[in-house]
Amino acid sequence: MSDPILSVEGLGVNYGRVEAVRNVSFEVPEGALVTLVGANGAGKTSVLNAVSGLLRPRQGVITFEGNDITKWPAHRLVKAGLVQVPEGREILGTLTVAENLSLGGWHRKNSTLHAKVSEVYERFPVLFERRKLHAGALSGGEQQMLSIARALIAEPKVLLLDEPSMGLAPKIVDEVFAVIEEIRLTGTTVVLVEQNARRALAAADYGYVLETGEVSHFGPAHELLADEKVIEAYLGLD
Amino acid sequence: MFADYTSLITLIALTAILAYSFYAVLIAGQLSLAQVGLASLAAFTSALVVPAEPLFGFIPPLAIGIVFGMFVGAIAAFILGLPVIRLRGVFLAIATLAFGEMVRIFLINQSWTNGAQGLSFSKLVGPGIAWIALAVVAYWFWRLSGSRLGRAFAAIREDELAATTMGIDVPRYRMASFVIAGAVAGLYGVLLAHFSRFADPNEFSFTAAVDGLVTAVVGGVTLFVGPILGSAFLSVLPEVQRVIGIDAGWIRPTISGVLLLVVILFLPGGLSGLIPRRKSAKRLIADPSLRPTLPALPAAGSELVSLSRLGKSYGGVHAVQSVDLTVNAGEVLGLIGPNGAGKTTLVNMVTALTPPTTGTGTVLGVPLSATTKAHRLAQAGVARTFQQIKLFNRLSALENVLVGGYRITQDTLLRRLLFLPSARRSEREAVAMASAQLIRVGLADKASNAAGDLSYGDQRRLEIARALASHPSLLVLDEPAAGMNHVEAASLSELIRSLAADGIAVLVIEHNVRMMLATCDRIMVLNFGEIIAFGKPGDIARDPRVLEAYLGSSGSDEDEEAASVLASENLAQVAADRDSDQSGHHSDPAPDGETNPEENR
Amino acid sequence: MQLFLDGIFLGSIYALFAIGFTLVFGILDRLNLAHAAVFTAGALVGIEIVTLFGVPIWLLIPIILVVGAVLGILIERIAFRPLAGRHDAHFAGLISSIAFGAIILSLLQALYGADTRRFPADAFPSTRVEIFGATVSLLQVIILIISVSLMVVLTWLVAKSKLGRGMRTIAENPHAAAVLGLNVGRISSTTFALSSALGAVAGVLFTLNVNAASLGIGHAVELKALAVIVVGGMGSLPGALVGGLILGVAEVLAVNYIGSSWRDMVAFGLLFLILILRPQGLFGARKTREV
Repeated sequence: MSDPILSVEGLGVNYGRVEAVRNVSFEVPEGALVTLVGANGAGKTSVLNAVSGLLRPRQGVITFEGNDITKWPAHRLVKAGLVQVPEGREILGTLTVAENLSLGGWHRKNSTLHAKVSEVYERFPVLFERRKLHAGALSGGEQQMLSIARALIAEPKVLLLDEPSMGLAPKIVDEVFAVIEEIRLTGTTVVLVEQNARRALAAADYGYVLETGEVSHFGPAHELLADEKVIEAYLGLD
Repeated sequence: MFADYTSLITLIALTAILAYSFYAVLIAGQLSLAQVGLASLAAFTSALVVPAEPLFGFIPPLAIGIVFGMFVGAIAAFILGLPVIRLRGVFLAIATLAFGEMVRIFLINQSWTNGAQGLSFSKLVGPGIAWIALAVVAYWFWRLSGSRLGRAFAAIREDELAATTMGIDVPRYRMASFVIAGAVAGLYGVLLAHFSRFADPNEFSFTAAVDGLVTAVVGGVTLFVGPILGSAFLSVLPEVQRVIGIDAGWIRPTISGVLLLVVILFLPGGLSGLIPRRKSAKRLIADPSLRPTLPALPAAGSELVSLSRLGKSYGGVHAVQSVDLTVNAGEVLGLIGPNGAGKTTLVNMVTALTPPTTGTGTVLGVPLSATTKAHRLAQAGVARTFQQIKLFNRLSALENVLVGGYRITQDTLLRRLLFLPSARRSEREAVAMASAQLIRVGLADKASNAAGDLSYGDQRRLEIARALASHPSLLVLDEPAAGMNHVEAASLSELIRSLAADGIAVLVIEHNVRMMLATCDRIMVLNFGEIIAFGKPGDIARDPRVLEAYLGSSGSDEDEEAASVLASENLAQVAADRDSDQSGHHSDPAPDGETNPEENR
Repeated sequence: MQLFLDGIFLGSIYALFAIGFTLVFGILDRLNLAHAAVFTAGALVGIEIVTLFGVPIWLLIPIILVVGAVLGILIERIAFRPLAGRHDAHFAGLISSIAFGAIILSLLQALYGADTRRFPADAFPSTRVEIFGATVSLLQVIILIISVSLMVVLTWLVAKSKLGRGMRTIAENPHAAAVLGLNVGRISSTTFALSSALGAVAGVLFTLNVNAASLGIGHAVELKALAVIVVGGMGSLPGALVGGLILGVAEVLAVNYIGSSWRDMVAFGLLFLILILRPQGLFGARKTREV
């Protein structure tokens, strides 16, 4: 069995003196889709932000491609291929769609950037149509697509998705999940954080359930989905 | 020996008084640089009224000057405050700085101030008077810090929006802190002029304002002795340097600069932050007999909220469209829907934080309009919690709940200044009521912890306790169970039912559908700003539109299909239990140990 | 005409100082009150260099740009970066930059003493020329050219370059910038370096204009620069340019028609009025980040 591309061991994250995450460990095999599910405030986003270098963990070790990246700053991780699609999309509303995309290629040379952007436009034709519009004028679903597309420009080895279905209509959520499925078919490893536990588990290979900052259940996603206890506990959550 | 230091000792007191005038605005979260300008106005105008001989033979000239100077300072601060009070942060600082400079330039160009040549004053102030004045000012701020007014200032500093929803009229209190600061600045100006016997308007410059601010900040604003510590430290420092012989022109400012930098970077609470806070100051009072009797809540079933076609749009986007709704005393009304469905916008309109763009509404007799102030609604009996927790993080849990009791307590500052027993009684009653709420939500053992240090779930509970402390008729909870585990969510559910049994109307937003079905009398489901279903929990759980919005529409995946069916059966069962449970209370005691509470169904 | 031109010369220096001030505010949302000390440092170090080595003006300006940039990086590292993430970072940044400014000034005092200093008498050409019926010195024209071209270069840099794109991204959403892999720390440092480089050159140019520099010159200019950036709109680069020129001309006119003792009233009166009537300034680019 090959080593996981990303692994987190004993992660703890504090906000001030509040423990948001306690002793969380998980592994992400290369090419897999791993999901972290749980309620609002369970600590999912804190875990993701610690992995992508936006939060300094209190304890624990994060390993990416065999390197200890626990203390790497965010920009170095993006360059190394660990790219986040943040919660709430965080698109730059006053910049155009095209400018948003080219920011996704901050670390790329101009020559390869152009080709990559065209490639992304092919996958997201709606973004090509709207490339000259201010990103703030896009619909919620289009903004989410832009946020994902922008991350793809950086050619991630591991894509970290934080609540991509948030605030979207069920039909649009379907589209987002279809895009995620496409992305993993290209071989990109995906870590998906979701409140919509059922959807996320249905799409994932492995799942971890977070509850008040700790992992309460984990295992292959289809097993979790069939597990009475997990169903009991989490199907009530949207 | 002492005589050598007379001047230093006096200046420590005077500088501390100036620092108190900055402290007075800083405790309410504002930064004003007008203080020395106000001081110079007071100083120079006092020269016009201070007589050479005692008035009527017994009122000392200085007393007249002080009263007049404080009055001038307060009035000038009020007039300055009228246009600038709505500015915040850096903008307020710049506007007040400009005012201070304008005063300076104005005074320099007046003949009665003798312009830049300066004006002579009689020497009326020595160390004794300076320290007596300082003692009086410090006493005022000491008594202020534990009063309802002092708590209101602290609440505004920590979170203006949350303070508004406690019923605190934020602009009025900000103005009050401005005027108090102006009076103290006036006192400083008059005392300084009559101590140094000479003043020219250029002494009251930007640099002097910065020095005063620095003194207040170095001392710290978390404790009333801060300004005295700051002044003593900064005044004695050069003296010490002189004595040990390292005061060559540039060394002194270098050392003070470095020290100031160290204090601001490494001592966020200033020097007074080094003093451990007395934990005994506010103890929980658990004795129920000390709680006062509160006015009765509206009779169960009476209509508290009535909305008619209420809507809100931002630009062209409809966050909420045309909602009709009534909420009655004693009922739990649930609001569910996917993220971004408009639930929070709706409750923001009900609590007057967001003005509606269409429709009408009345909440506890107050009509909702563009000009309805949130603190008015809070005064009428609306309390709420926030999706993004808004606690007063640096205040203790008990202090948070005490601020929550603002609506039903009386101000105690004047009585506290006189040490009247009734002030003590009022304070004890307030603490007793606050304690009751902390005990009710299960935070009794964390009363003295800073709110910001509590765990996420405890913060949620504290916010509920704070909201309950205002003895509300209508309680609005925005995602109260977020971050709670199942045992905690179950006990929250019971708490909500017991509040409703007391006669409070509860409007609750929550994602935990299972909990909502078990807790609410009626549930409204929003999606894209529109009501897609409204009714009893049992009907909601079976409604196909709700299932679609919540569980997704695609049914191609078999797992999903199965899960979806299972889910809806589960939910319907929970809801049916709830509907048949007329008392509203769960008869099963909360299970202990590892058992999942849901298994007791 | 003479008055108008004098006002433009003065105003262009105010603008150069203010544009650095407003750059940091616009992008990092911080008011750097050590900017005045950088201005003074530029002036005094400039005099020292010319006195010691007799360098010509075209060499002096790049040297001072570097001196200013180094100071800017130090300010960011020491007075601002340690505050990142603190809830009172806004307020604490004001105080820590005041403290750092005081340290710079006291070190300048240690190096050059507290007296007023001047450039050597014959250091720069004293040619005077006549334009539109007004007499101006060649030096004044050079000052104007330098300050305007520096401002143009800065505006271009922010609008067009990759660095500028990074700065604008941080200004709009620092969190998104970090997510996208921008090195927020380095871009912040660079912003401070640019800001302080311009502030230091403004100090030299100001001193060339009046041929006198003392430890206190920064304070007066700082207060006026606050007026300039508020009038122009906090964070707006063109606003700082226009605001500076307006203030320069208004002051010269005020001295002539109302009297020099009322001169400073113009700046503060204008500042006060704008804050009350139109807090976002003439070129209102104010973000609503602070609530």
